[in-house]
Amino acid sequence: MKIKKILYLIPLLIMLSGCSSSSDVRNKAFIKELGADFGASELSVSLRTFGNDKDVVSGKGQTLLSAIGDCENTQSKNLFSGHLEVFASSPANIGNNLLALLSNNRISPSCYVLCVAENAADYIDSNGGRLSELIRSNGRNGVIMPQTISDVLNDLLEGDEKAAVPTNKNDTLTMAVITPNELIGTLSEDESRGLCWLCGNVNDIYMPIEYDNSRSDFYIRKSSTVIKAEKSEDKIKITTEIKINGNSEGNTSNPEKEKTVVSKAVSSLCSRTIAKTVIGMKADLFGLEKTIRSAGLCKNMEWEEIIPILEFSYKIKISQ
Amino acid sequence: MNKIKSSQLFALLISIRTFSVICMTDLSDANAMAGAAVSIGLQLLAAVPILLLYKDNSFSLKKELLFGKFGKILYIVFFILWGAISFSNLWEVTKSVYFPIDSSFSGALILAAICVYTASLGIKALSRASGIVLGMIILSLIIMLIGAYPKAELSNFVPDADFSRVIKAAVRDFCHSGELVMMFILLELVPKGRKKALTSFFIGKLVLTELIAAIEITVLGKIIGISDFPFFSAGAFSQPMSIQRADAVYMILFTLLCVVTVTVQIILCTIIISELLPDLKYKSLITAVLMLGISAALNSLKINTAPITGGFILLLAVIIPVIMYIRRKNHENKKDIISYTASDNA
Repeated sequence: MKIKKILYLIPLLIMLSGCSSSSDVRNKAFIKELGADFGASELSVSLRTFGNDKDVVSGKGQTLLSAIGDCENTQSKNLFSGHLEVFASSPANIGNNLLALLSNNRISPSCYVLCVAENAADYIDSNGGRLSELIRSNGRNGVIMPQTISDVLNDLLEGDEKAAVPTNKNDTLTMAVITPNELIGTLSEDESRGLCWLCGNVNDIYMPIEYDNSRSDFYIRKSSTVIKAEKSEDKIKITTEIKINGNSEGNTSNPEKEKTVVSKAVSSLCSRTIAKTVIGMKADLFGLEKTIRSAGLCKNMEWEEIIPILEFSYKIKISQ
Repeated sequence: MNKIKSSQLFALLISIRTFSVICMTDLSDANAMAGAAVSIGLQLLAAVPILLLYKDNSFSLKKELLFGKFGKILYIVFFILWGAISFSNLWEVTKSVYFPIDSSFSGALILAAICVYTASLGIKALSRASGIVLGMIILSLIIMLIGAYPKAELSNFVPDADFSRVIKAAVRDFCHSGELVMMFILLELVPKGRKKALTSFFIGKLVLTELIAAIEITVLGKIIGISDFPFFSAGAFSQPMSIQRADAVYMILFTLLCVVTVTVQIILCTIIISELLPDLKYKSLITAVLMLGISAALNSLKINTAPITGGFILLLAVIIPVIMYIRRKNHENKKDIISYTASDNA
């Protein structure tokens, strides 16, 4: 009796599954890097696939997904974006396009985002398939803060509607501040580094320091950043506490002075970044508003109303 | 009559609950977490009359069900509705999340065929399989936790709960707790360890619901507000390895849980229909077809089923057991009085 039941089901299963439009892995090309330039009437994309660091495939379309579909017409394989590593985009409409990429979970949320002011598609072509490695190595050295699609979208959905994204400036990577539709400012190298410190993204780097007319390196093994908010009369006092574990490289006669120099240098980087981003651009790039609200402060205030009452201070603790 | 162990009952109920949780589209936040905890606490209290009914070994749900045949029809209607809602969830998820199937309708048909076949094997076979499904649930949660740990930001959790929103969340959670009705019927098949099964189930349900909500909130942050199915988005965002996506694990889990949920409804319907219409053939097939049809109607009419299921759960898992318990107690007291009077006269 059981065998009869199984015999009824087997033809049904065979007919309903597997024989239709499935595709083999060998017929798929996995997109590694995608560059998109959003023009007035249409957009153009260039993409690079895994296993092909020399050639890029180009396409045009009214929307991002149709432009990617157009790229398939110039080569023979199905394009699959589920393992995309880098998405380089011009600033126009970047917010909506990141949302489109994330719909149906068709793209890995850990894909890096790069904002390229002009010719994002050419930028993909010129970097020979090394963009993800470049982003990672710059991130490791505390130069930029690598941002994934999910990080950028999360920031854009916060109250200030701004996010920090790596960008290229004079052939080097630095950080930029974007809104869902435009790039509003680029940070200098020091301001980018300051942002990395504020986000707690600095480990295993050498920091050049200068004191008593001599130069040396301070090795930063690990660091952690905690931002605290507390009410102080009619102001909100923001304290950035950075704990650094590191040591001086080479012989030093005055380790305490070296630590003071390092503390001042880090504080200076952070304060420059805060002056440019929080005060200047009214951007919250390191979870400041979340910290304030988690502390139960400013419940009925908008982000732009909070900025004028913020006071910043820094506590840098260095241990070896 | 098929008997199942208390551990198997636990596995079945947790599987059905997990399916409901992963298909939820509601926003997870502090209010939802508090509301779920309140709801589960109240459900535990509501389960006490059920436990007291079954404590008495002479209790037979088959003979003592309130409203007789009409009561049985109510349960059949609920199980068919719950199966239809499960198919609707399948449809919605396969449209929103990337699933490697050609059409949601063919997916539903294949699953319905599997559920009919599985139901034909009986509750004992399904309950044995539910142990494996429970293992799959635990494995999936472990993978999700490993992937979520480096990406979770505790600052995304804002402990800002409002009383009215907590109550709304509690009501919403109650409307999604159809497993209470199934629990009431399935306890009939568990000869020993009912109290242990129920207590473990409610504790497991609380831990599961709060854990998934906590992962969704801390991993997704603001993206939870634009996510169709927060569980799948949290799964996509918490990849444990940089070179491999774990989405397939959650797809497999979703499919297995859908099969278990729908099969339980078909089996329970079949058991009750057998009592009302013992000569009716192809009961499982008819039930599955009805579920698919109602599911299609629910999808096209975009009906909000939460108030309907909430009303049914309140009636079938709370009100009816309480009335049955009170009636049984009154009947026992009357018997005591009669026997006391008889012995007194003697």
